[in-house]
Amino acid sequence: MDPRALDRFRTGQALQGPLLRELVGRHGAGAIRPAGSLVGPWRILELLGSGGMAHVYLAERADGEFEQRVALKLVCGNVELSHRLRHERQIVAGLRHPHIVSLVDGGDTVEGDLWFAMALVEGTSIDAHVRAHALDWRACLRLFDTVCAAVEYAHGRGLIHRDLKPGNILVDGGGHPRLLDFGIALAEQDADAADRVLTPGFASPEQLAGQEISTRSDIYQLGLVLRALLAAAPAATGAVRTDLERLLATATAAAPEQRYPAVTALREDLDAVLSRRPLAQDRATPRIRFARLLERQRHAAIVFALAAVVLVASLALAAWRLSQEHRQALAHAQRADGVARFLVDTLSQANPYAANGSNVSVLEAMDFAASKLDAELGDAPEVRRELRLRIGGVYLNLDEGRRCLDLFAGTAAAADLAQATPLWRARSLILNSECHLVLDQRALAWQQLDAAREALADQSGTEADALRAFILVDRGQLRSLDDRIEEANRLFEQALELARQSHATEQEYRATRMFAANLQTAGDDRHAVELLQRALGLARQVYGTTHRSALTTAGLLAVSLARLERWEEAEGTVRDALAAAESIQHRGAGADVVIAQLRDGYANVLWQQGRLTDCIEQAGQALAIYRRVAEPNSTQGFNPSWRVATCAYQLRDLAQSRVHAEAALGYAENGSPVGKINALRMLAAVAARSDDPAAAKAYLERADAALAVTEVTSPTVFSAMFLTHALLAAQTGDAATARTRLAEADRSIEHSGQNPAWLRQERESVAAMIDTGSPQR
Amino acid sequence: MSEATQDFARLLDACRRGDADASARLVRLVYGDLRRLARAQRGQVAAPATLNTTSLVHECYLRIAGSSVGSVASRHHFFNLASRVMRQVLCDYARQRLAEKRGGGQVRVTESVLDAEGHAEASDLVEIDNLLVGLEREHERAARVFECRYFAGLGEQETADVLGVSLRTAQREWNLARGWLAERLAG
Repeated sequence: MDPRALDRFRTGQALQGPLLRELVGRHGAGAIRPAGSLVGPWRILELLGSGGMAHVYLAERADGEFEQRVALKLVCGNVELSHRLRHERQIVAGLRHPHIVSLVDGGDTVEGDLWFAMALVEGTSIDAHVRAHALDWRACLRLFDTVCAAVEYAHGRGLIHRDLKPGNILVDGGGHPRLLDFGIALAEQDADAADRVLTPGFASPEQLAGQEISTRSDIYQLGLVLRALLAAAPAATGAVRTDLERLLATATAAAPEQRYPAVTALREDLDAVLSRRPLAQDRATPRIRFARLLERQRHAAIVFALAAVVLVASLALAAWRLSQEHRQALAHAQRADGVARFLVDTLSQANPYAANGSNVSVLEAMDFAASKLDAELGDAPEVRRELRLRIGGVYLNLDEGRRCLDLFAGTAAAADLAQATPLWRARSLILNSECHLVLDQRALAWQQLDAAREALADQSGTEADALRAFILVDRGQLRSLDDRIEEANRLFEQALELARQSHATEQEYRATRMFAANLQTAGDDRHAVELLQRALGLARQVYGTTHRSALTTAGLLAVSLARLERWEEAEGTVRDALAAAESIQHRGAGADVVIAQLRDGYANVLWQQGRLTDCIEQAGQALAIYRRVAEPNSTQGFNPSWRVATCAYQLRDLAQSRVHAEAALGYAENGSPVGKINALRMLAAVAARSDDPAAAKAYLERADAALAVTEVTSPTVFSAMFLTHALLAAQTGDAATARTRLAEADRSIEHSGQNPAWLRQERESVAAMIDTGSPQR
Repeated sequence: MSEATQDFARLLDACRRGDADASARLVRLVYGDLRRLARAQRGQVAAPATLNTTSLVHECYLRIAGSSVGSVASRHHFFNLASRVMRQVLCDYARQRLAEKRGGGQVRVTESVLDAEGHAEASDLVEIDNLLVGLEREHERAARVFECRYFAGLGEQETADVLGVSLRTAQREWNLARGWLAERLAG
């Protein structure tokens, strides 16, 4: 046959031409749904409007439970975003602000479309309102400031609007503005710039470029909104006009880092214009500024306030890093130190945003402090550098890696870095490395560590040694994450020695704990228990008994104790830790995650005792917590999913086992290669016992392929793989192969000296199957 | 067969009987996946097309059927259906596009290169779709293999799994279908 004839048709060719793109382009927001159609519990009444990827309908409750009409927005589905969206939708649903239109309900349709039911608001768009009422510039600024306050509130909860424009701000009959569409723009946003829906004229440069969006993108859009409002109002004149122009220029600077760092700063300048004070950038030249700092009580207070904010936060976080409430954080700080109390008092006087202390979150306080850093401390580089590190450290503790990196990204920060001492440089590079790690940018994290090492090259003394230990631990952690365990352990050993010499207790704890975790994974529980007991003592000494480090170390210890069949100690350890964790008042999501980890540890202890039903119960509870609080793409659900899959498999509840093994595989895609091998092997075993040898074979091949490219240290992984091969051969009646594989499994088990109960049970089951020559479940 | 798969199958049947609403609903069901395909394509992703499309079909299945249901058999059935759906959706659109051109609703002064390419592709697809009806009569299995590979981008092993034939057969029928179509395709 003419080979060209065959070349005319390629695999997937129909999906690769311009036709598919066109088809997709034409469909956009999709068909308009007729009146009477149902979306979730809502019945559509009429179309209110359409745009880009969405239609907005007037809708009412379909179940007649109660009478309620809403604006129902249907956004054409985007499967990739849906997890993030659900997460964001939850936050939006929790927003309660007089100037933000609340989200009533939300969900997705079978087609994958997302819907949002919002309170129905009467009103006109803000620019039309300004024109209709002929507002002057003062009234415009006040109205606009109210909008800013609403945006500030949402930013404080980690939400970015992404589509601020006059049309999304309605003003009601009483003159009150209300913000629409919070948390919805994300649904309409897309990873690809070409088909992303942007409001023409109101997109920030980084949105147009398809880059990552931050709160500063909203600040840009706020600037454009203000510009539009001022254009609709009679022009201001003289100095006010100049100041407004400069305020707008700062808000809408092309480079995000040149804009106002937070809405708070924008509002300060709005207030300055309204009360005819100079803008922040004019208030003083650095030299005069420093003199005034010493002269004037209020300004001195700001420096103290910065220090206080940071100190309060550090103390509070050290006491309990996961505490949710600022009130409690303050209380901790007050108890902890009289100096702190003094500074807290100063803080509440100096910081108008913390007037009543309790309604500013640690994050907001940090943003405030960060926004002040360069402007207020231009002439005090030592203090500024120290604070930069402290604030960055607090961000890191709050898992705000991006914010922390931003703190070190500006030109002022670069200048600090260039002029700082080698020790400071090393500390900031280590901090940056950890931020990259939080953001799962491992290569970047490694680079920063190398740079930190270089910075320390000529340094001696205990502080430099402590930092070297820090770097060694972090390098070990990165290697562990890549499953390069032997290399990691060598680094931990070096770190331990250095940490002990330089009395760096925190590093000693971290190295001990991570080293122990690796030993545990490799099955060396005797050694692991020794190290973990030491790590637990160190953690309590450094952080206190209810700190997450102490709690999770206890969880790990329990697991190893259980593997050594020291059941009572194991259960006691994990139960004590659980009780301690649950006794914490005002737990944040982070504390819930710790509880989930402990429950997972408890599940593990139960599993090893063969208490499978109890194990499923605990692991199920852990999983429920992760599903509630975990970040998108998080791999945390892997352990409990895999645990349930294993227990269900042992109970021969193959359906449940499959579901959870599939979930585990999903989690493993972003996580550990060994986890992926385990999940695939479990799926193969389930398929083999479900009389589906083809699927079993496919899974097993994938597991083999993954095994071939992964450094696996746990010998039971190999033993289990051999057993599953044997199982599949036995199920397909190939007794010869089955025997060979079984013998390999036996050798592996004998060689490793590790033969836990589940492995024994599976081995006996497979051996029986081969002996009787008949497949069985 | 799961409920969702049945729904899918019913829609496909209605579509083939010329039900325009069903066709629109079918597109809506796979729209998100189509969009991502289009995007991957525009991004000139280096990964082979089969990899992308197969994993997409998998995700489409999980989304529509739900992750908790479905034996392997019903999964294969779904992929089998999906390849027909892709053919239906693309060929329907190709016909619609050609009709618009002929009907001359609005006359465009300039025609971009892309537009011309789209036109050529649309004519090809319609012709292939028509020829496939003939191939279905003579060699039904070859026509099914062609659908799986050409319209759904499934690889040879997946195609074999989905249709329940051996790898060798899937390879042979793919060559047969291509040769058969090339002989008859104009141009």
